[in-house]
Amino acid sequence: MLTHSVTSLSFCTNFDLLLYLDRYKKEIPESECAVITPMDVGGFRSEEYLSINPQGKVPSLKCQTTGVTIAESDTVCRYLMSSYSHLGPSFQPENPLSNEIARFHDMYLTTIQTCLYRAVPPFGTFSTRKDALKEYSKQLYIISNMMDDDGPYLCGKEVSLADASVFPSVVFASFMFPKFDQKGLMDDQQQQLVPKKIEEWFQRMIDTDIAFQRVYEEVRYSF
Amino acid sequence: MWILSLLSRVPIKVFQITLSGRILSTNVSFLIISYLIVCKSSTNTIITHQQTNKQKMSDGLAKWDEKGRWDTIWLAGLRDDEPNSLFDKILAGEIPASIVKEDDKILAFKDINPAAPAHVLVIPKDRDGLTRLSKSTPEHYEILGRLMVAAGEIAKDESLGFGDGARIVINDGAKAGQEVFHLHGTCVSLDLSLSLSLYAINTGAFLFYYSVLDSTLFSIIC
Repeated sequence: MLTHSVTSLSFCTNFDLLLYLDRYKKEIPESECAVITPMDVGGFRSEEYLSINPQGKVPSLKCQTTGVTIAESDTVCRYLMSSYSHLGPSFQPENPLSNEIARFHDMYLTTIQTCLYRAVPPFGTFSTRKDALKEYSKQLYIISNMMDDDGPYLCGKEVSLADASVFPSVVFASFMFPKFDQKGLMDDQQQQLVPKKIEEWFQRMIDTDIAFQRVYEEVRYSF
Repeated sequence: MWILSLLSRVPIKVFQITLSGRILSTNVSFLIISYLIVCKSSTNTIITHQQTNKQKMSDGLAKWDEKGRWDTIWLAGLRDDEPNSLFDKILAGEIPASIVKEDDKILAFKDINPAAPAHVLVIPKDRDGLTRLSKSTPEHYEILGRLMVAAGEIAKDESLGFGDGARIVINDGAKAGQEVFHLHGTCVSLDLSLSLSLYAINTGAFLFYYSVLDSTLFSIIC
């Protein structure tokens, strides 16, 4: 029985990817939780869609049984984690850094991510691409310094919201950072824009975890 | 029996993963197989997914490359490949300069060959492609604004010899009299303003007129 409909644009943003990763990892049945696009309900500005998300943005979720509507990827993911806590991993390990990394990601990485591909500034609070790209790299280093040394996931042995949040952004970063003049963006002591620890974790997820591999391939080849 | 049933599905999954184009080491394959055994994921779902990916291999981010997405993006397809100028040596401290104003983005210093009692040049520390004003893009909105604000502050600084009003000039290109190809605004005290105006008109330079008394007056003479 269809209990939830999630409105998304099918990998248009890393927020959608986070949502998909959540679904893949927990293996939430599509018969219960269907993904639709805003076009299916008349478009972003339609009365029906604005009743689901007054911001007119994706993703959002509507619970078919209760009529509850919620928006924003982090909120939708947490709702799905809670509603489907009986399926798969909890995404909420004991390590408190999971929520902190996810929050840092949402606040300081995704807000300037357009510097990687958008034609003109501004990029969040940054009016120059160089400053925004440097900040993006700096934020990745902050996250890498918070990573669990033993892994395999960002916060240790268990997959968490931190992995689900950061992974889609690194798909973009690993593909797009090499497009830019590396030398002009790095400090004297800096070796690379994407920290080695993040790179290794990213590759490990692709190589060893089907859900992450699936998301990687969908954004890499189907975005 | 249950274990045998699962194991019988393993080769199919390995084959599907290989189809996706990824080269898998034995260890990695082992890890994935182990994972599949543990999580008991659906074979049908994976098959559908891999086939979909094969059909879409020509799409995705690679298509952004094909369409030249980054060709016109600053610092990616577009870069500052012009040679360094005299100002880079001043910025590096290799050539002495009388610095009158500095912050993280701009530097202002007295012209070594002043044409008036007060003659200050204001430049962006990072040229960032701005060899001349006509190279500016939306990437430069901030630095151009900061240059103008800094020039305005300099132009009313009595300690530097400026008085009630000044001329702020940007020469764009060699034909306009630009000698150093690192964008710079020239602030000169008013006693030279007439000659600078005539110079700008004659050479086709862009002239920015600034007056403390009438700060809204702004003209461009080509």
